[in-house]
Amino acid sequence: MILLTRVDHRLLHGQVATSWVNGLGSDCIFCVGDKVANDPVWKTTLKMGKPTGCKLVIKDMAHAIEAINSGVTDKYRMIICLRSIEDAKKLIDGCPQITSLNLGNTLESPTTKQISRQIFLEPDEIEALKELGERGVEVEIRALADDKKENALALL
Amino acid sequence: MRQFIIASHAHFAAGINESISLLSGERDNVRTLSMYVDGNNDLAAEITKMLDDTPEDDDLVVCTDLFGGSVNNEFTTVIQRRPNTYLVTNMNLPLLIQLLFAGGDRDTAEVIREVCAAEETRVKFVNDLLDGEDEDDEF
Repeated sequence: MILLTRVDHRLLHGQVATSWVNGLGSDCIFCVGDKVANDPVWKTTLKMGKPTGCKLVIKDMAHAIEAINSGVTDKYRMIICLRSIEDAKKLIDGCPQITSLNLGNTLESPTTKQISRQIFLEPDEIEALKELGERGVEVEIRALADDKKENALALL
Repeated sequence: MRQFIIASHAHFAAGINESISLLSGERDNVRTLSMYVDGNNDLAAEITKMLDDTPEDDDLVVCTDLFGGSVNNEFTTVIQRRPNTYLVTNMNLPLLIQLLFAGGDRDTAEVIREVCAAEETRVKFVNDLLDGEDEDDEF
C-alpha cells in the first residue's frame, strides 16, 4: 500500500524519518529516481539514515515503475520519495494508481515561483502539476505528517 | 497525561526543542529550562515554579544535559520527593524524539528504559558504519 508519494529534494532525511515514518506507521521507504540510483555516495548516505524497523529500497525510474506495477510492493506500508516534480510526474504517468502527491521541499532557483514556505516551482513544473490536477491527482503541501494539507493546485 | 521538561546549562534545552519542532512539529506538553543565561540563575526557584505549573497526577519526564551537572543534580532531588517523576540525562535528539513519540498509554518507566537502551539513541562513529552499507535492499 502506498501511504505517501512525496517530492523532497533531499529524499529521505530527518523530517521523513521522524515525522512521516512515525506518523503514518510506515515500514518501507522507496527512493525513486535515476539520479539517486546511479549515485553510490548518496545511496550509502541514505541507507545509513534509514529508520529502525524500516526497509529502504532505491531504484531508477524504469525499475521503480515496474516494481510498483508488478505488485511486489503491495505488502508494504510504503512512503515513496522523489527528488523532483519531473520525477513525480514520470512515476505517476507510469503508475496511474497513485492519485495523491505530497510536496515537501523543493529548491529555489532564479526562475522559480514560491507557492509556500518550502515549495518553489519552475514554470514547466507548474505545468506538470496542472496536468496532474486535471487528471484528478490530489497535489498537497505538508512538511510534516501533522501539518494541515494545503492544496497546491490552488496556489499555482 | 505525560509532561516533559527539557533542562540544560545555557540554551541547549531551548535549542534542542527547536530542532524537535522542526523535525516533528510543536508539542504543548514540552517545556524547556535554559539555566544560567538571560538572568536565569536560581535553579531551585525555577524548578519549583515549573513543578507548581504541573498537574499533580501527571507523569513528569525530565531530560537534562549532563550527568553530575547542577541541573541534573537538582532534579535528582526532585525525583526523590515528587511521585511519577522520571529523570533522564546525557540527552540527545533521537532520545528525545523517541520519548516524545512513545505511546501515552504505556508505562512511563518502561518506555524510558526501552528508549535509553535502544541502538538508535546512542552516539555513533559514522566512519565505522560505512562498511556495512554496500548491499542494496530489495522488495
